Amino acid sequence: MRKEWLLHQPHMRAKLLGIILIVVGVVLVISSSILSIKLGFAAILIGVFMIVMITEKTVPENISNAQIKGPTDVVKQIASQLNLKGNAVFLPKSDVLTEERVFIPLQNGNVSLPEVDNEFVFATGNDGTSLGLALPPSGLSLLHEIEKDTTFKDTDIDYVEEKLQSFVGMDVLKSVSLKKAKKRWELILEKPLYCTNDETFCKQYPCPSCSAVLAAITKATNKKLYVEDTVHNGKKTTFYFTMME
Amino acid sequence: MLLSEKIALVIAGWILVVLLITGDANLEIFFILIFIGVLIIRELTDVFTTTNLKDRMNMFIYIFLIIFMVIVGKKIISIISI
Repeated sequence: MRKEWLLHQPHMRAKLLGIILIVVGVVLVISSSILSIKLGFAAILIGVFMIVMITEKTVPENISNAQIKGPTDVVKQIASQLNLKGNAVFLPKSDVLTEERVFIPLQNGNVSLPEVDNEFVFATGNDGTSLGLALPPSGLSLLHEIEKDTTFKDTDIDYVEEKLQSFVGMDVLKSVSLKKAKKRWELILEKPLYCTNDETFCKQYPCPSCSAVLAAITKATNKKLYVEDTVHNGKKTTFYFTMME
Repeated sequence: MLLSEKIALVIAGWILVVLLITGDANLEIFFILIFIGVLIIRELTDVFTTTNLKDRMNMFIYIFLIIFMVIVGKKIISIISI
């Protein structure tokens, strides 16, 4: 079972193929003709590239999706029980908040955001407009991982799209594009790692891949980000959002 | 398919193309063309790759750079000796 699993790992397949190519290459290099020497060097080089370049271990997609689904379902149930109908507002760091947060208000429109600090979860505002739930974005840990390579803090909005390509490099997304469409912003994410395909819930508490991208934009611009709408079109998920001061 | 797999496949493809292009020509051209290909691939994938993958690609670039310097050195010596 373990051996079978190991052969399903790309890095193990690459190692096996690489070793075979190197052995074949060495045999070819020993022979006398220039063409076979070249073929030998080519085989050795490809073998070495395979071994050195492909080293990542992977987990089957259904297993990783199952791991994500649990916590997402918990938030979905809490939001449903509290009858929260509003769309997500991504909050940037502040003097009292050391990490980004998602605020799910009671309803859309006429939302007054409470002062959210690290311990703040349930907003029980008296006037009704500030009622809601403040949670860490589901993709915050993912963003921390990506930030080991790319920093988003205080990045000009014009350069954010370029920096977001790190998500493509990490195989979290197939492609990402961010552009301004009239008064709001359009964020198109292709093939996010885990997608609930539930537009209503996507607007409230996006999945880790989408949420990490939105949190990265929040971090870069240092502005509150209000998710207005979400559209699922095949493998693409589009977020329409506005930035609030 | 992982990005590292894609890059490894593109490099492997380029090595095969170089092998076909150079045919019976000497090994120096073969290595230099592979080096150029690796440099181009490294530059084109720069935005997408992680620091770890960049470091691994850089390692190949340093090795090829040494080979390139040896080739150039040999050429200079052969020209001077004439």
